[in-house]
Amino acid sequence: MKMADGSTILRRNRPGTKSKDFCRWPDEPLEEMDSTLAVQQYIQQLIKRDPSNVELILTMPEAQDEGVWKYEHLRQFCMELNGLAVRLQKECSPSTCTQMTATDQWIFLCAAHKTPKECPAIDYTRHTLDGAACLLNSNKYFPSRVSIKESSVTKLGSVCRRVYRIFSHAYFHHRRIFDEFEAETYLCHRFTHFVTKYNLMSKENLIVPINVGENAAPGESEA
Amino acid sequence: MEPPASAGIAGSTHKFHPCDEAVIATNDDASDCKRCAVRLGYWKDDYIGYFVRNQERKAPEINRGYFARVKGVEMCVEKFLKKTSGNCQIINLGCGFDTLYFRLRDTAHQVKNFIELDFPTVTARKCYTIKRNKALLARIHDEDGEVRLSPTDLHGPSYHLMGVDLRNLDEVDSKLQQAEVDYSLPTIFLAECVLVYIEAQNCRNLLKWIAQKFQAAVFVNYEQVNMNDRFGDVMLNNLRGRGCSLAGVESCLSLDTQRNRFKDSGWTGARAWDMVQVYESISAAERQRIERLEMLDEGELLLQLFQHYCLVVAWLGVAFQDIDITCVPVVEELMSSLNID
Repeated sequence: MKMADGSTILRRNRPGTKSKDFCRWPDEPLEEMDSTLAVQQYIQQLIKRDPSNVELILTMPEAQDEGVWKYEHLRQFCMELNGLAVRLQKECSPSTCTQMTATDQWIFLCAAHKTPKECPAIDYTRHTLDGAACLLNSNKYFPSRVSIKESSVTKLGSVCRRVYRIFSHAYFHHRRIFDEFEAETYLCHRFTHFVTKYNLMSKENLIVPINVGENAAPGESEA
Repeated sequence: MEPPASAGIAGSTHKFHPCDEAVIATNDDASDCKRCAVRLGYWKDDYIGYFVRNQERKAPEINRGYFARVKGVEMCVEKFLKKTSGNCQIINLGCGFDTLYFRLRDTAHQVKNFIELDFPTVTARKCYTIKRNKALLARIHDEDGEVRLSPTDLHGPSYHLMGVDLRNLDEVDSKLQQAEVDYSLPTIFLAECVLVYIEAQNCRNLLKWIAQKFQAAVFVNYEQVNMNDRFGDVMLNNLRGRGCSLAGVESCLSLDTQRNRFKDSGWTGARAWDMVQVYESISAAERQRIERLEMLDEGELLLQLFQHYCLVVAWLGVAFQDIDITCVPVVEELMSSLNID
């Protein structure tokens, strides 16, 4: 890719790259990204610059297809949630969290199986992230990175509802891990703003207390 | 002996009343009877066995009584589903261990939402049974949905089972909203031996509330009728002896009082039939099939039972005023169809 100044930007982490230099290539305007992964790259660029700037990260560029925008963000959420899952593994085990719960009111059955199954919370987390990865990479539902079938957009809502359980379980049962992870990534803030903005989840189901009233954009579409 | 009532709600206060336990026990009796009839082949139900383990044999007139009841309700539901083409919801009040949701899932019929309400102690047992059986879980699951459970409530993508006291309308409203009820969607309410256990004023409040909240609805009510004669007295005393007071029995005096209960509560219209008429409306082939399953010695008793239970169909709006499952029987046909020589 050519910049105006004639230099080429290579988005590569060569073997031997030091952690402080990881992904440290210069920012690039979206319109100059020449790749089918342009939207993903753009989102990751914004996150890397400032993960706390949720509003900017979620602001859709002009002429961007909204279905693709939502899809790419959800892919990013699932990838980053793996980081939370790794930390949860140290503390969340089948013997301590025998069911997937948030508050004490509801047990959530794991939907990643042929029939709903009562999985321990950490297994629910793994199964749900694996299931989301399979779905979001499914050639049947999401064959393209540049356009999304209308009938597949509804799948995004069900993925959101399931992965949200991971946030709520972590918040109510592993608060320290949740807080440390959230301070670094703002992932739950971003997710909450995202599902609110695009009406992917109803407000009463958003039980982790995060205020989206101040700067959330009004809902723009039905999932 | 008369067929025991199904699960219901009783008492006149909002607190749990000792009578409630006796009413809840009637759910067990009704479920046992259905299990027996299904095992003998009166009708097909692949799911009742998960909820009922009892293998006790019941009297032939009891089995035919339940056959008429199940078929009568089924015929009403079938007509409603055809009219709405599945763009509708079903709300089963005092559902007990009813398996209609699961049986419908084995048919081509589609339903947007299916909601069941009963006492928390009943729904707790039903939730536990569903949670423990893959065959039941498979029916409440779909590709995009999620299932969540509390001790007394269960929510799937389009099936909801919730513990509630039907006398507490604020709680009913709150639970229905949790179940994603759509007040503008055509809705059929089912109640089998439920309203009779609710004190008359609470029952009127419930029916009025439904009439105000829903736009297009049908209410199918199965319960006692003609309770002002000697046979009715015996039934009443028998139920009272088991601790069930029929708090709502004043609406069970005649087919007229059954209809008027709805019309006086804001429903557009209602019609009612005793179970003699309902039985007669079941196809002759089906009646002949079940009459061969076992001998019936007590034809007179069956006739009396049929005369003391009824099916009421009430409606809101005009879309469903033509739901009618019966034809008028000729007296001779009536007698022969009851296998009386």
